[in-house]
Amino acid sequence: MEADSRLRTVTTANARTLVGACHRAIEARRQQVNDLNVYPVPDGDTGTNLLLSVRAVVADLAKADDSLARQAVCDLVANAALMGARGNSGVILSQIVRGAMEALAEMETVSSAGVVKILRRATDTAYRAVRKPVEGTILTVLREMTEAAEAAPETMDLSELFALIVRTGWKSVERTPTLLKVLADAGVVDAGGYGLMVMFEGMVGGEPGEEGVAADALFSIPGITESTTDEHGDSIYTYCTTFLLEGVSLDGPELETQLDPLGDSLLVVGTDQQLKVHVHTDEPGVVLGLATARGVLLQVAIDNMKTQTAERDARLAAPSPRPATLGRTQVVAVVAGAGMRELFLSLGAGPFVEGGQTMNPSAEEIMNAVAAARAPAVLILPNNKNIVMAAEQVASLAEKPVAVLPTHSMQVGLSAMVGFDPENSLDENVAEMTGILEEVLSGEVTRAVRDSVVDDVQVREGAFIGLVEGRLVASGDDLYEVARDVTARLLVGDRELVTALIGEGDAADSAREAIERLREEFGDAEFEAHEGGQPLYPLLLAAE
Amino acid sequence: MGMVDELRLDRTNTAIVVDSTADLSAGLAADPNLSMVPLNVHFGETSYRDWVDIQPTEFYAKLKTAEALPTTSQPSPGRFVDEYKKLRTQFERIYSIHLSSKLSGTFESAMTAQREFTGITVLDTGMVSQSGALLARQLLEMLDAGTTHDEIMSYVDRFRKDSGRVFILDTLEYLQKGGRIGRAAGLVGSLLNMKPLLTFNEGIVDTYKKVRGERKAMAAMQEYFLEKTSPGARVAVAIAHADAPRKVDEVLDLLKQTDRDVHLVLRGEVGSVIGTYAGPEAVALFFIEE
Repeated sequence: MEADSRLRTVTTANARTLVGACHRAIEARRQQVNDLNVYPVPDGDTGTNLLLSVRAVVADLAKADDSLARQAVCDLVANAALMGARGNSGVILSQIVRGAMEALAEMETVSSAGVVKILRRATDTAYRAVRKPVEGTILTVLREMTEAAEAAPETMDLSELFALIVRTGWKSVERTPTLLKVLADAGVVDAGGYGLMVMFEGMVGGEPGEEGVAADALFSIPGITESTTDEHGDSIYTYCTTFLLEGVSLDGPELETQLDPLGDSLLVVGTDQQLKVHVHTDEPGVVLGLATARGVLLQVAIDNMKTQTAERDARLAAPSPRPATLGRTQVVAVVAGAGMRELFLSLGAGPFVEGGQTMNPSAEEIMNAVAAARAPAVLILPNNKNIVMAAEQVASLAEKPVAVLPTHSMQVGLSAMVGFDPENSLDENVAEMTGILEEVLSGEVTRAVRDSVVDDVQVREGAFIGLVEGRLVASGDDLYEVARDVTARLLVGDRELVTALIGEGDAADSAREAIERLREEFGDAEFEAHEGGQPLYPLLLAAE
Repeated sequence: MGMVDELRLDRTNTAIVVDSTADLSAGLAADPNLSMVPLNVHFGETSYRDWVDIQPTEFYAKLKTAEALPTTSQPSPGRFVDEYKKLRTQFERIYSIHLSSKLSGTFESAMTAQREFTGITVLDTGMVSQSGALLARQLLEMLDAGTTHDEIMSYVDRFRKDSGRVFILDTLEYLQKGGRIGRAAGLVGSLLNMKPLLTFNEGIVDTYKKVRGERKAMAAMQEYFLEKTSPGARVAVAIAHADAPRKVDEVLDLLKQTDRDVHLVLRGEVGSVIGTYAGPEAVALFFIEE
């Protein structure tokens, strides 16, 4: 244990280095951690919360007196973590830090055995702090790191021990989805555990010689140098600017205030004689100018971060992982028109059968769609009265429970779909959706195919005709006037919501215009218009 | 927690703490026995303390123009430690009322802080917004009359079980993007303009009734109110709106059309933190029979 002789005690300076490394590591991976965040609340802010929690410690250490005693440094770090804790992960982190600092404060110098003690105390404090510890989270990762360290031979030197802990930690992170179903469903590892490893590795380094490592400040590990790589997370700014500023009576907080408006990810840490500055900015020249006025610049590095944005854009464009869910009931709907299909799909319907008024699908086509549905029960929406019987035939022949909701039009089928819940049973869905059907009145505007008198209405070939519940109620050359007559007959009783679906073809523009005029004419009603893209019917209407 | 349960609790020895998501209305906020600990809302790198640095009007204006949706964060345990420490010098007992622990870590922060003291009871309403203000108001009334720890805890149980809690959002977008959609997830993606009547069930958002159109949603809210109250009952009601004051009056009118004895005890705004998930034009109704 030759390394022990060179171990150091805790000081403000080496605490700054350690926490600073932790901060750099999590800052660089903040977005990755955010992207993983699905538990306990999928709001994608675990990385940000960890970063800001650590940043609070960085800030307090930057203000701290250089000559603080060991106990005072440990108290300061623990308190800063507690006060700055953000989010669930930040709060747990604050408890990990608290345990670690309590253990560290008792040590003159830090040995391998000391590291084991620190981890054990951190683990126990964190577990105690959480009311119902959940496995597959940051807690599990920390515990398994600790257990690996405890199982290691006492003679293992620090760099080997850290390497072992890091390896164990990452393996533990990989296993989190096997412990927590919500992670497996989303296809991610636990964000908090991942964040913990990012920070831990940032402090102690991975395999010796790899990137990392501030542990050297406290533990004096040979052969490890501080990393200069800086992966950039989200920044709206172009240049990552870092430098060291040397001078006399440097005022860090004041410089921070001056630099703050120039960018983000700002970090000014150090002493009144030496400050390390890190900022993402579009104006590195201004930043350097402000700094030069105060002292001598060393180790200036300006990196263009936009070279990494292509990768980030690709990440943002990728669809978020969503597990395919299979409910108890599926809907097979007969639809015509691309817009109609989209509308039904958005309400959870599918598979679909193409068809409608003049192209009734065969029972076989409906049967094939029912066979394609994987849910244990299927509800068929024929959406046309001429298709209801074929659908009923399919239902009687099917090998699994199939019911038919006798929808006579697509617009009514659409209204009924609002009551559909794939997690409900077939009977529950039928009951709920039938309730809606009883409320909805349907209307249609189409063109007459020949001269005739229907239901006492005189009709000329090519004229617009309006139907309510399949009965002809209006006819004329003006689409709006026909639609208005239909709407007036739909808005009876307490009906006040009209769904208007615009068809394909020449009359689509007239239909759109008609809807705008209907809104004005029937000011008390709510109108919701969509592009249905259905053939033959320039306008389909449903009122409820 | 080792308390002497017979201790008479009143305004001289007991204080209430809420977090800012209780969306206190002005009168309640001024109560000397009531303190508020703010959550934070973040627009980019700029942070504001809910109801302290940012008021609803400014928040909804910012929300309209913000390039990215704001995020929120709970108060640190240290923030609660400070508040409890201050209050414990004056009061023996503290009841700390917080929004659903399934939606925010605020409850967890308060629990962590509470360990350093005695005499503090941290409560999870399982809801958000003025449900917290309404519970705080009811407890303050109990303190006015004089009460006990057991009476308070049994009232809190009744409140969590029997109080009404429903809300209507103009869009589900904010709830979904903020990761708080809960059991209403199935409604997302609909191209039809859904205005579901939403509620809190086991601490998370749930659908009470799927409806389309605002008026139908309002009518469903009235039905809900009737289902959850008895004929002729006196009901304490809190209504909060997000940048849509007229909706408070609309809801109140609907409640007053019923035969219930409606007392609007709180009328307020949805603050920035809850507004981050509710979005503009939301309206929420909380009530309990008295």
